[in-house]
Amino acid sequence: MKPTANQLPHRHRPTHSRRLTSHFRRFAFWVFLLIAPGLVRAQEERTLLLERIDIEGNTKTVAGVIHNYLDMEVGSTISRDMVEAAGKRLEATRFFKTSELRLSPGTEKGQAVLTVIVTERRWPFFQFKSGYNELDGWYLSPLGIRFDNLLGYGNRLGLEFLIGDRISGARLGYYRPYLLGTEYDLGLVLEGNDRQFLHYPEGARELDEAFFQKVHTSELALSINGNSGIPRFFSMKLSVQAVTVDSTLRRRGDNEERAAPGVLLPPLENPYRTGRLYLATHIDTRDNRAYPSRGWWGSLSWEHAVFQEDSILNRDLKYSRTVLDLRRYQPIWKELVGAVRVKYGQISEASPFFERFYLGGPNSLRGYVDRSQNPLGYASRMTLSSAELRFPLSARLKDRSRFTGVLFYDAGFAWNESTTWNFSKLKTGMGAGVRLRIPVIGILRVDLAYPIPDYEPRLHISLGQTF
Amino acid sequence: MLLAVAQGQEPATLSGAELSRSAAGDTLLCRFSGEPFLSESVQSTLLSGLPVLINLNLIIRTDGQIRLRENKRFRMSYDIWEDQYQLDGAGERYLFPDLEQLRAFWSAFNWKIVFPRQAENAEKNLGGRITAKLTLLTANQGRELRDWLFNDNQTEETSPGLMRDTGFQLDLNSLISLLWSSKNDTERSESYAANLTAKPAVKEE
Repeated sequence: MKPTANQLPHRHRPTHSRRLTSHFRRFAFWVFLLIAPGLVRAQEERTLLLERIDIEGNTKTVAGVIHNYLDMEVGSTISRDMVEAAGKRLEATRFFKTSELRLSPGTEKGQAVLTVIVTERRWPFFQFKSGYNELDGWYLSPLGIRFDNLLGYGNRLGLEFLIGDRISGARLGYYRPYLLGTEYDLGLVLEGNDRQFLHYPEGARELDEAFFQKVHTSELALSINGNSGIPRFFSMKLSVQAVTVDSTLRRRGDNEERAAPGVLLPPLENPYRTGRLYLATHIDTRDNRAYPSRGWWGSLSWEHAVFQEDSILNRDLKYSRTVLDLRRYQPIWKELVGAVRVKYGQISEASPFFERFYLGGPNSLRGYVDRSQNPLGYASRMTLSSAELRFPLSARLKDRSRFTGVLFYDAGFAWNESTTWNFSKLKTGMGAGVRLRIPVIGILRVDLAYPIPDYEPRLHISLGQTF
Repeated sequence: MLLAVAQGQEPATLSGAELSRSAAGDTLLCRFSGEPFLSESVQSTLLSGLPVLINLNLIIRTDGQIRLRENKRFRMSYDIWEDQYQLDGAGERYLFPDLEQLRAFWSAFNWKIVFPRQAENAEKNLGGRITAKLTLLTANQGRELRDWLFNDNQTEETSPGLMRDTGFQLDLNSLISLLWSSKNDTERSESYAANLTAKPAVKEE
């Protein structure tokens, strides 16, 4: 009888497959090491009994709005973390020019009086925004205008324009926190944008070789997000979209157009409309957003879209998408922090290419160009895992997280249902990087990544942590 | 009577101030009572969770000539969570479980200065001046620009799990108000001073 692959001596196994399996085992070992010790953490916390809340300086804002963001009840027990979090929540509303929380001793020992001092903002809120999006590349919103707290009830009405590497558009939004006194926020967004999708012909892996295809989308969305208590773990969005897909492809800096292959055409005639429901549950227990050293970030989302009926074609006009994204941060030794991420996505084969999954780039699989590691027309399945060791690079800085280094290892694969997946098909990359927290912008990220087994270095520059 | 005075006015007198040479010879001892450092306004500042900065300046003169300048800075605060007062300064941290113990610390404050003994004649004209400035901080003092620069507002994906979107937002209103608004008077201070004349030598503790 012919021996199976498992019975063969190691030296007879295919070298590439063995190397990747070894990489994966090493990766799994590190993941286990990082997660195991930090599953339970008991921490003794000093607390005080909240005797009273005084609010000063609110000429327009209803006191109830401030109470909502404080999320603390008179007579309840409060901790230092709770007060800090409340201060940050209040500041993040941008309703006030300044906001300050002061705690002073209460009438009895162990009691405290919280005084909230705010200075109202009279002008609309002007905002400049920029960043790097996994899908759209670099973007810029040079001026966004927001009318906050219109009637003193915490409403927001805002308009922003977006221009970028592969996106342009405008968004008009209305946001009503604590809808009808509940723990839910309501959002209404009207958005129109043009996105350019990247496609790589067979064998091409550089941006210059890629073709661009425009997708025009108009969307009206209603979202409900929990903001405190149990509801804060859940969010929901209902939307209707009208989508037009260009039937031609164009190369950057090249005026010549070519017809898009069938896999890059919309499932129905242009423009076609969809209605969609998005449900998500998420958790965030990170101790710090900029440089988390402990905690979890997790999300499980499910989305179902229904196309406009087309009785003539009699096609499957629905698709669902499920995405699981889990991240863990754990101190390992002294200031050495381990971070791991596991992401899996699945979508119906009937879905159009612009809803599907992609891999490659600074925010997903490092060592590869943006969205280059997926089949033409994108993938219906995607898995991505990353492990990072993060550490401060300067002992002189008071805030050690301002200048940090990282060693990373990424592994991922994007495929279609027809492809059989196994470990030997995993795309992997490893490398090192630095994170510099600079004024105004925040974390600037520079990674030098090596795809395995080619080891051709690629430099990634982006903002924020990778995950 | 000791009175806290507004900024720009003459400082109030610091009580019990005296200067003496230690019996060992190379050390000067400056003593004063810092009880007014815990005035009502200071206490209310501390209890509202804000720190008070104390800046002590000592000048030593012989024959009317300034021979030595010394400076000490303290940061005094109250930690409501630990229910204790904290004093940081000169590389040390002192913790006081209540206000009375903090008051006792200040009531007979000893400041040792290395000042080698000089000729007997010059020693007769030994003197100096101690000044204290208490800065009662408000949370906003000097913070706006620093906050605007360093409290970067980094953004992450808005729909969890879908697209990784890392970026930043800039609050233009704060920048405009920093550039154009008039400076708020957010700092208050109290000043104290006393002239020092040399007393007979004391045995160094």
